[in-house]
Amino acid sequence: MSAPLPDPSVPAPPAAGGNWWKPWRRDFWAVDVVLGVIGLAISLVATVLVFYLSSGLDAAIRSKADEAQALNAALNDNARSLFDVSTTFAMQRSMESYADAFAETSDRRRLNDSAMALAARAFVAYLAATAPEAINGFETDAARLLAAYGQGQEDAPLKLRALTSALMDGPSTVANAAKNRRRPQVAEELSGLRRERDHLRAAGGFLQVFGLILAVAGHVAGRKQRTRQHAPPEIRALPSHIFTRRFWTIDVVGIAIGTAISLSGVAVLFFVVDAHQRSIDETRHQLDGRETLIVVSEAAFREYDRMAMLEPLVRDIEARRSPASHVAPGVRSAWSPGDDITAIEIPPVDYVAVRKSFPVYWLMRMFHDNVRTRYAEDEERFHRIVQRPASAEYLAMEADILVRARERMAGLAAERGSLGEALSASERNQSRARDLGALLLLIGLVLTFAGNVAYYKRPRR
Amino acid sequence: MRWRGVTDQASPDLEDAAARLEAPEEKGPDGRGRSLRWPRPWTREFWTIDIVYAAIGVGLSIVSTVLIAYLSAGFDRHLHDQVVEMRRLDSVFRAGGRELFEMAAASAQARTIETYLENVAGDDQRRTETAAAIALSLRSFKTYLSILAPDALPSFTVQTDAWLKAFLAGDDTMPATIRASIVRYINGPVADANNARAARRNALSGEIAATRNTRDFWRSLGAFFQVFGIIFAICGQIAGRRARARQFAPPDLKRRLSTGVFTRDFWTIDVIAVVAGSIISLAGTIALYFVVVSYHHAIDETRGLINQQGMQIELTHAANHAYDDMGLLEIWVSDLNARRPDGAHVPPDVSFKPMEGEEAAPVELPPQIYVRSRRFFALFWLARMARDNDPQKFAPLIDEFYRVYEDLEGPGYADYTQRVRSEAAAKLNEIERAQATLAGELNALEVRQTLARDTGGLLQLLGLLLAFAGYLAYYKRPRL
Repeated sequence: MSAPLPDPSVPAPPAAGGNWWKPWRRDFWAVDVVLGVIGLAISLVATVLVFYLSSGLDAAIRSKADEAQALNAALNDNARSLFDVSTTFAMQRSMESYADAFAETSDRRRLNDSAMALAARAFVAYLAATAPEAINGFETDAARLLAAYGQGQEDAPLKLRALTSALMDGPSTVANAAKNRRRPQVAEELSGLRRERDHLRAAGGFLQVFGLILAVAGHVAGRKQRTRQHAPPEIRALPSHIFTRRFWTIDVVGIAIGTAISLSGVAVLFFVVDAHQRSIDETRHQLDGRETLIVVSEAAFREYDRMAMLEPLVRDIEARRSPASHVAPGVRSAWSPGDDITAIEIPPVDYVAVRKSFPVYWLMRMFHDNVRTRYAEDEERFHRIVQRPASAEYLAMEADILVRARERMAGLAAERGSLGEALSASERNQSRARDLGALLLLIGLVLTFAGNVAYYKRPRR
Repeated sequence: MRWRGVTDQASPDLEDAAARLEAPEEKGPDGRGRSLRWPRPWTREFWTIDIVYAAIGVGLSIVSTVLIAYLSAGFDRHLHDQVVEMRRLDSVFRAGGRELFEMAAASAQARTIETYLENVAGDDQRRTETAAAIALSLRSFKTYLSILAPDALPSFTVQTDAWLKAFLAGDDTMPATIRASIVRYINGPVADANNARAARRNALSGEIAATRNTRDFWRSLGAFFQVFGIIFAICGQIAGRRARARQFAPPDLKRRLSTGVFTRDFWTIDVIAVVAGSIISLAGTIALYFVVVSYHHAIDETRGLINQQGMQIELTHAANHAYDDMGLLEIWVSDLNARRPDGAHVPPDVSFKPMEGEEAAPVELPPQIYVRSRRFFALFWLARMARDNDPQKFAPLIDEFYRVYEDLEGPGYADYTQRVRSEAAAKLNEIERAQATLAGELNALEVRQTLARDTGGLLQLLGLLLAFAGYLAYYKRPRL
């Protein structure tokens, strides 16, 4: 209902809008101004806050993603370094066996000394990947052992190997276990942060739009209030509360529908985007897992082959030993502080076979997708049989593991491809859902505005 | 003419006059008032200036939203594919580099075992065990081929299987022939594929930057039109009000209602707000496009540097490991060579063309020199890395490398090796320290880019809010 046509013969009332620019006056704060200010403030504050929070969360997500990537790379490096260092020590032991069998004392010591120094360097690289804090101690101990060997202490090579085993079982295992524990935590934290950011963005997006809708609502409320204020008494007496037809003018209907559409946009942004995010996180997790399985297994196959080359060589060297060949003294050592003293030296052939069992052990875990509950039984069998690496039972188990591991590798490569495609599809769908949500938010706002415009274009008498 | 009272209309008297019962257009043919109805969109009267502007503005806003969402999704997909391709090229480069050192070490190991067997074993055992060792070392080369030149793998496999059979049947030239064939594959299909990948990699980094720029341009432009569409609709509302005011104004007032842009009357609070809002939104668009894109350049550069340095670190660790591994073999094979007994097997000379079209030359090197030459693969990388893997910088070192490579027993070898290794160790230290700094820099750049993006978005929204606030303020203006 528009205002009545003024009668020019009646003197004008005092100007009611004269204090519009004085916010400290009571009459400035009409309902349209109050709602308009609240609405615009909500919109602005939501924008600033969401941008601010969103920036903070983005930075946190980036740093968490970097940590997750670093952890993945570290675990892959750890495994690769383990196989590398196993090959190096298997080679060093083969060479030592050769020198024992064929070389006179001075040549033997010269050859072993150089080989030990190089093997120790390889072990430092392994420690750098797994437990860098142990490097200084190892370098000091290794230098001491090498010096002692130069002075004729024949058990130094064995002690060096025992030292590497102690460090593998000690700081490296502890650090690896810590990384393994941290890895799922980081993935969980990362997806939590992503969800929190998306939720805040969705809520902020709604408040940005809703603030404007509230301002339009204030405009409508102000108009209604003024109309009632200036309406003749008989019109003023008509009911206009929410359950009456008069209340639902086109602009109010526009606001209600606009708000509902904006809310549905928020629901899309909140629930659908979140559901896609969960699916993306899960796919990414599976993809990372498969990537690790593939990368580590490729290294395991390669180092297995190199140690498989050494095995017949060292067997032949041992077979050709003469009675004059050097016999290394037996050494007993604790694996780690508090352990029983154990005889650590095993024959060179067995030593190489045991080093070669490291990649075999991994391949056994790999074809069970590295899931403990699935490989537990095979692991138990492996540990039982690996004590006799030359036995037919071990050889049969090794052959079986290699065949199954190769089959699984082919499957993993195919799965990696399809998971990559699934991830791309999920990311595309999420992007579409995000666009749809934003579009609904905008349509809600546009509809509200269109309702307001339509009110002024309504048919009138 | 006096303006009285406060109503929700821009020009209350005129608005009400427009709605008066006696308006001629409201009368039917019989002279009586028509029943109330909404104007039909297919009639001329529906398309007043406010409706036209609002339809254009809202249409602009919605179409730009849909189009930008669509284009943006398309660009995102394209960008995603390009980034995936870049990552794949990077990972091929890294995996290929690692596998080169592994393959070199495996070949050196096989040659050491072959030398041992030549010294101590009879023909049958020598051939069987040498063939087994070569077969295992070939698996490493096949992995290398499968990464870098998978097309060449089937022919290599068929050929080497046949040569190994010939060796087992008594052809002692086969191990050397296989080794020569490996060199030929490295210089042929692998080098060709590497060159193609390097060219693609260079092109791809430019393509990625271009796609990102285009996407960001469309996004900022689209965001501006999303906002500007609504501002335009508000303009329509203002223009409609003014048109109605002029239409229904009495003749004396109509003359006074000047509408020229350069008149004071034109610049009412809502018009000022619309203009200021559009300018602020445009400033937001400029921030979104130019500032964000300039940050992108810096981010791309830093990310490229981090990636390159990460690759250098990874390959250098692998090279150092392989160098030490082969160092162990070098000591061993030298001793084996020194202890060669009189009855030891001496492999026959083999001539081979290193590349198609080149002259055939004897390919077999003494075992300790062969191992040293494989070890040089790792050193070659260390020489490149020591000079930032930049062809301009590492060219002199590589020239020297090839000179020294011609005489691996000469005095220049030890000197060159020592210099390169110490330079590489210093560079590795420097790169590892720089990595930590660069990660911080990248993070700071990304934070600044996000802030610029937020500021741009905020400015666009502020523009819209201002236009809307101006529109509301007009109705709250002081009136007489």
